[in-house]
Amino acid sequence: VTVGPLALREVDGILVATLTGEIDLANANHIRDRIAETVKPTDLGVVMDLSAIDYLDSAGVRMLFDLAERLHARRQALRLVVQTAAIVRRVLALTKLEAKIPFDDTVEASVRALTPS
Amino acid sequence: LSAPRRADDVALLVLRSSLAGQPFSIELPAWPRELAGLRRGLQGWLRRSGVPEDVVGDVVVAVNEAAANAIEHAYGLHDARFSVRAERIDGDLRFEVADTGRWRAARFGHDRGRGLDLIHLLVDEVAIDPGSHGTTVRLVRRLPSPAS
Repeated sequence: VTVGPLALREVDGILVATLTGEIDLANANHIRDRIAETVKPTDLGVVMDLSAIDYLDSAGVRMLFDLAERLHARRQALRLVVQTAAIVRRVLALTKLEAKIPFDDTVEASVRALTPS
Repeated sequence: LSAPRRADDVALLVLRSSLAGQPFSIELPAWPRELAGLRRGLQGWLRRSGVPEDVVGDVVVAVNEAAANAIEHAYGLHDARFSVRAERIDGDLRFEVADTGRWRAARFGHDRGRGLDLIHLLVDEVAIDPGSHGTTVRLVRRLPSPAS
């Protein structure tokens, strides 16, 4: 099974997930499960870098809401990097995702926001 | 097993959508992995039909959501297929997403609510017809009138 365009790395106790290509019904659940099983209980949170994706459908949006809820229940935060394709920004705006999940312009900004000072 | 069939579907898509001025019409297996090819084929047809780029993005999202709904409701059924048709008639873009067969009338379950919300935000008219031979979703998006 192709898990889809997902790369995971750990940065100072934060899981950084870099997505590429098109996120839709065909791969959204695999991506959610991979991230959920990779994040450690000791991690501060997860940064999902959406800046290189070309498409996001409502299954992808549902995946992001799901992950935010799961992480919240474990007192971990989710932040998104969304300097991305116009069509993706449009879907994110219409589904009011920004009301639920904080956005940043860069991975570095997200990591900084999750790191205790 | 699925690879040759998929190639046929893509070939069919390219063939059908290369007829400029013609409606876009395709039938596909009800599998999630068909969505990406559907989006690309529809996007190509819309651009060749001279549809403004912001409208292209909106209606590709709307049609993708209607197709994803058809696919999700075919889950577990053998050989389920769905069809997508698009036409430009005067100042309207008209779309029809239909399941083609014997599976139960598809409904927008609560899990698909976000997809249906998106459709309503992106097109001007939405009609869901749960017929006895399957469900047909019809969408209309009006095009901006040409500058005078």
